[in-house]
Amino acid sequence: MNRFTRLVALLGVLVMMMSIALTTAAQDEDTLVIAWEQEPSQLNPVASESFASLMDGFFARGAWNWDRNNDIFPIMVSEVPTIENGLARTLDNGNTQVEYVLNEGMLWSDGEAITSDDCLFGHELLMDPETGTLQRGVYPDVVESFEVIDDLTFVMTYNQPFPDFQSSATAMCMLPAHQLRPWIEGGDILDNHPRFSGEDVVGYGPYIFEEWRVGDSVQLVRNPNWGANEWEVSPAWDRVVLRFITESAQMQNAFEVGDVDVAFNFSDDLVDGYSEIANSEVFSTPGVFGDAIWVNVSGNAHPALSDGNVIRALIHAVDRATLAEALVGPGTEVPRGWYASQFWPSEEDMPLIEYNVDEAVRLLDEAGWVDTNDDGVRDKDGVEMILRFYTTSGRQIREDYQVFIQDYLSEVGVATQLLPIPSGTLFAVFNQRGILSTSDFDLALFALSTDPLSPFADAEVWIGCDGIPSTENPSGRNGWGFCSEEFDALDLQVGQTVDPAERLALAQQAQVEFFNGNFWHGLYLRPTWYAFNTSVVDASTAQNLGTLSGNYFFDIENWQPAG
Amino acid sequence: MTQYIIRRILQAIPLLILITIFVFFLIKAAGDPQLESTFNPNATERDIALERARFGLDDPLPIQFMIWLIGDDWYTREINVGDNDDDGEDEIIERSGTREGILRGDLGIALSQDGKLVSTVIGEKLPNTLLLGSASLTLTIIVSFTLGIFAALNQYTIADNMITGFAFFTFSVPVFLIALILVQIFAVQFFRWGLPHLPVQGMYDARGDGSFDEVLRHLILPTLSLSLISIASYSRYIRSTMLEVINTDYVRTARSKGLAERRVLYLHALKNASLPIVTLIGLNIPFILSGAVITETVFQWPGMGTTFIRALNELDQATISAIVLMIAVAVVVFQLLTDIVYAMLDPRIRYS
Repeated sequence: MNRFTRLVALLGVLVMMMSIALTTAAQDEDTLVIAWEQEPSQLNPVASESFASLMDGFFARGAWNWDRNNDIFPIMVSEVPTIENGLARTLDNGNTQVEYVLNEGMLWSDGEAITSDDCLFGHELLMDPETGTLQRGVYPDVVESFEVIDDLTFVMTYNQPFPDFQSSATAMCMLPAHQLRPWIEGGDILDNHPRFSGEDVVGYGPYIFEEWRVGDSVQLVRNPNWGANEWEVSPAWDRVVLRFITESAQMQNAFEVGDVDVAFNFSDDLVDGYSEIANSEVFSTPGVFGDAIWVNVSGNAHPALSDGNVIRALIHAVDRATLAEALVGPGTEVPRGWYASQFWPSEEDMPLIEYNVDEAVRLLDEAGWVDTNDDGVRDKDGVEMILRFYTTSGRQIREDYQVFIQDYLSEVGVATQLLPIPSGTLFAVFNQRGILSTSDFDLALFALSTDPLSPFADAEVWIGCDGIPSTENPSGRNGWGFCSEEFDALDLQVGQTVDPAERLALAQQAQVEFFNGNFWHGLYLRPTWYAFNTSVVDASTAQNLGTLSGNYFFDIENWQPAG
Repeated sequence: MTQYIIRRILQAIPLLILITIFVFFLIKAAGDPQLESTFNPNATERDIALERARFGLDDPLPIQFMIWLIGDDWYTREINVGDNDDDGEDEIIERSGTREGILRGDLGIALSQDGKLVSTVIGEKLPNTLLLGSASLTLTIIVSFTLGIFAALNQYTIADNMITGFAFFTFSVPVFLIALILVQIFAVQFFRWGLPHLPVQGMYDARGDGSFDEVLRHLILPTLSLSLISIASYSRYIRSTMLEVINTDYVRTARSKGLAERRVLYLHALKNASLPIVTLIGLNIPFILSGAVITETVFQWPGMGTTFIRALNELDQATISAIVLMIAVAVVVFQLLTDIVYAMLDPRIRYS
């Protein structure tokens, strides 16, 4: 045997040894593995990180939640407070008061009873910024008092009429007072408590937090103190593993080889790949982020955009329905409004601008934008109709949309410069010369999230006249320049009208004003995609996934194994 | 020798200071790490102001640098959280600093890790990176020495040409592609063929118990993809240095003295041929600490590389500065160690 043969034989032995080591891990039927796109840095249930708050569905349930149809249902309370059931009421001074009645018999995962005192503790944390990092939102500004009536009842009073009491500035009962209050009283801040690093996590949900393998996974096990009450359905799997996989191609590979049983939130271009995998079922739920074309109507854009009919012509020229079907997925609809669809006015009051090339050409011709120099681009008074079209770089679907829209517009003689740029540059504030904030664009493609549960736009900074940025108003974000006194007044009323029917009517009037502003034209609602391994999960039992950004797994206890 | 070591350490101090200043201001010049949070309609002016104050982002740059060096526990910030109660006056909150600064051993708060201490983050990730790095380095040394020596002793044979071809091929393929090809073959295709397959990514089996053999199986693909390029270059170095050495007079003398060929090769020739490789390895070891950014990202190996990328994406100055500083210190230390080892291997070399 010469040396070369010996070397080859050595390598062969090495490969054989490797193959022996390749024994695949045994499939454990009591464990469900879910791919998790981003590892949170802390387990703060009121954190800004969406992938941290997504975990709440497993071990930190709140007072109530919303199902796939955005219908509210109670969790920790016996009944969701509403005006109709009298648990939410308007005081003589017009301010809102909400009564919470907690369910009897609820236990934290360490066996301690859940009481009003836990919610009072949450109130204390939210009111005092010195206690640590929480996403407090408007809570400290709008909540006037918190009164404990008994162990299971408490009353929150707002300092104004507050119709969004179900979705905003609600009571926070997710953190156990008996565990965390001594820590805060000891002078430390919430962020430093080991609970937020995954040690001794006490919560209320079907699972409890067992271990956080940093950079690898989170291990959850069945909560022994969940299931005593009728509404606490016991989950099918003893253990759930949330596996961190940031690379989308690797997530798909892991799903294919059975390393993970559920993948979600993957991008549209991977849907076909997931669908082709054996034993996979792929479906989507409507998202809350809607990409749209934002038109600069501030007067600082291309002169053509000062004419509303020209803007309508641009939208008529783009076949948004076909683009949504082709680029996002079958069945994707073009949203008529920026608000959540349940608040939209009738189609008659707020119609979608349909694809109609003839109408686009007619409107452009009528506005005086014609191609006088035969260069293929319309012009007027010596100005060519070349529009600067921005979007954020790095998101393939947006860049694809840009290219197709450019193509559609060129068909009617409108040229565009495509400018995909980093989001930091696009969204920077006025003093940092942000493209949007300084109105330095003609068209832009991006999403500005709206509250899917409320018709209140809270328009001041973003859509209101007071939000138009300038050297005097550098914090304004309304760089597209929509300004309607009527809209601002209506939005203000929506924010303080408690009666649901009256509120909806006002919101719909506001939306018509918004629509007539002609600065926002929806493209699609970004769907959330899910893939289930049907040999592990009965996917038909796992369809009730939330459509909000933080409640995908609120129904995990009702998921059933395959077969 | 002692004088030489002391002089080298003293020389390193201004170098490290310069590096910290350069890195600090370079990251700060890259932009505002919390800019995008201002585009979140759900974040109030108060939330944003308090969060920015926590990381000292609104302090003047020289103050930020000073705080990074000596801490801010001597300093009380007055934070303007805006007019939240609409009384026409902005609310001011006073908050004392808690940081001690890098000179007192506090590496700062990791903005990209929602406020964890940088030292905690490094403590969690460094062992994983060292495991991957040392496995890769060990494999690289064993295989590249084997291939390099073999190729040198069989110059211009088919085997030599095959090794050369392999080296050129692996050296010219980007590491992420190597990683994905390995996954596609040993994980996905093996699975499709019904064979036992290697894990796609991660450090443990999701359904496993976190045992050491699990870690070993997960280590195979990242180690291979990390090693292949190094093996390609190291084996070429070893081949050429061996060729140089085996034709020298002292090797011929050793042979003529009747020493066994094995003894001639491994004791006389290899010891001298490995001198340039020692330098190469010495210079590469510090970069093991920083993690193999691409390999760790593709394989989701929870190490320094993924931490570094996340910090870069979020312009997390404290974490980036700490990692860069750590690498800089390691480069200085390992260069020094390399020089010392060099002197031990080659008696002709003396430092003064």
